Amino acid sequence: MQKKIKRRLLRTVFCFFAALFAVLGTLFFDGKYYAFVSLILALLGCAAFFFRLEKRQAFVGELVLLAVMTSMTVLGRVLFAALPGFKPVTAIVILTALSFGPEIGFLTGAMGALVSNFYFGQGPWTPFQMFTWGLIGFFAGILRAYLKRYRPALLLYGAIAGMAYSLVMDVWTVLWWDGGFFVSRYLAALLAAAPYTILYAVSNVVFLFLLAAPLGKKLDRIYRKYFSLSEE
Amino acid sequence: MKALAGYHPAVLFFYFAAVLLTAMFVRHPVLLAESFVGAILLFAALESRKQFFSQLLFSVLLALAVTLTNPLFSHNGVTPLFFINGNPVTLEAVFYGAAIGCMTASVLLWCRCFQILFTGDKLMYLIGRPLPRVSLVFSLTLRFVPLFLQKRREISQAQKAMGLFGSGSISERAHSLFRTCSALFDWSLSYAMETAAAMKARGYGLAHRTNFHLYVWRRSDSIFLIFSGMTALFVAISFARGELRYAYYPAAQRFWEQPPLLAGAAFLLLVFLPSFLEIKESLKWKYYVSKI
Repeated sequence: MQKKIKRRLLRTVFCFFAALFAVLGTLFFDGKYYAFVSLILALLGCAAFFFRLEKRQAFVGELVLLAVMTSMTVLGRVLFAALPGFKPVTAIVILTALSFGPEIGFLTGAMGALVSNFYFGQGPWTPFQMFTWGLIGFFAGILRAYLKRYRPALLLYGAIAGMAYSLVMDVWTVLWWDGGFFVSRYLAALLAAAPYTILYAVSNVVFLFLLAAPLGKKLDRIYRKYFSLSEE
Repeated sequence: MKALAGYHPAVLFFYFAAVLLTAMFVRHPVLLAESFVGAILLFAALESRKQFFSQLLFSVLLALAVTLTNPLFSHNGVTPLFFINGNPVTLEAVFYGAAIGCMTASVLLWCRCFQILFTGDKLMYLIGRPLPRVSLVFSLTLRFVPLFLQKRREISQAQKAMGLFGSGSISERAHSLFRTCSALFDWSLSYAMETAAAMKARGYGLAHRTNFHLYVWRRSDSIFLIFSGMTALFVAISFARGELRYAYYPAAQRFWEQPPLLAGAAFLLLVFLPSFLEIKESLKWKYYVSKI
């Protein structure tokens, strides 16, 4: 069983790196359709996880739990709507991934972005938001053994995730506007978004610090009670 | 009032995918201008007046901001207007800035229109066949969000009644919010597992399930699809033949000397089709109202 999960994981990781290299490849070849290619790749990345959810053996509780955690991320965005940038969304995605693994982590992040944009506005950023939040959950799930054991590592991961979110989203803006990667424009976009980037990182650390113990305990209990047997 | 909302989800999705892809990735100034005007018209037809003007103001400001800042990043171009710190501000850079500003504003407006017309239930219907589990999760989520919001209100009311809910200092309020959310989490997780057990007991996952939906394919859907498909195809052909390639640098091409007639006309029809339908519908409505 363990071996099977590991193989599955390796395959998923491989697909990610294949996609990453495809993006890097377009940067070196003359095509000027980087924005288009990266949009397609973000969509395909999300689709891969969605189709995986359809194909694999899943028990009903997993689907309902996914819906609950997704609505919690949406709720986090709604309840903290008054404080721009200061949201528990990423923290909830990371904690879900810590208890339930990379796949549920990715799906929670991706679905959370999709559904909350029905409340806050869809845009060309939706696929990238889905993909980035998904990846934050995915890597948290992969690293969960360490992140669970070492609290500082978890907080560091939250801070990095908050910054990576901004960094990734701005890459696309530059690609889209210039049809190529202009460092000066990217730096300007980063500078303009800097207050938000810092706020994302800080809010992730604060919410992870506050929620890791109580929420993690609740999620772990559900995992042990309902999921540990059904994985056999 | 919304004539477009009655169309089949697949048709709407196809239409917006075609328009958004063109608006996002074609850089020809003629098509960009068409897309901008079309988006404003459709948005005006769909939104209330107040919403429309605030969004329009935002779009124009955004486009202006991109136009004015672009010369800071790009010193390409052959027509310098003036110099800042020895760096030229060129006409071409301003023009390119205006083009991508218009593009961004129009894409945002098209997305707003898409959101108004393409509601959650339509997405659920569209992905229900190929991705039944994802669409189930999606529908559960759409239900859970208002349910949990209501539950949170109930919990906080109960805590207030017990005298536990502090409303004084910020730390007191944060503590109360934290306690409410903790209870909400407990409740929702056990609710989830109960729901799962109930679904299993009622036979979720058995074969031959059907989905509930209210969408039927009408003749108007076929007409809309064929019309938008044909016009989008013409734009695509023109794109493939390289007629929509346009150079802003070093000197902006004179697009009026070799206008992309085919793509320009096709995209014009594509972009104005929904606003035309909306305006026709509202005129019809006014006419019938006037006869009462």
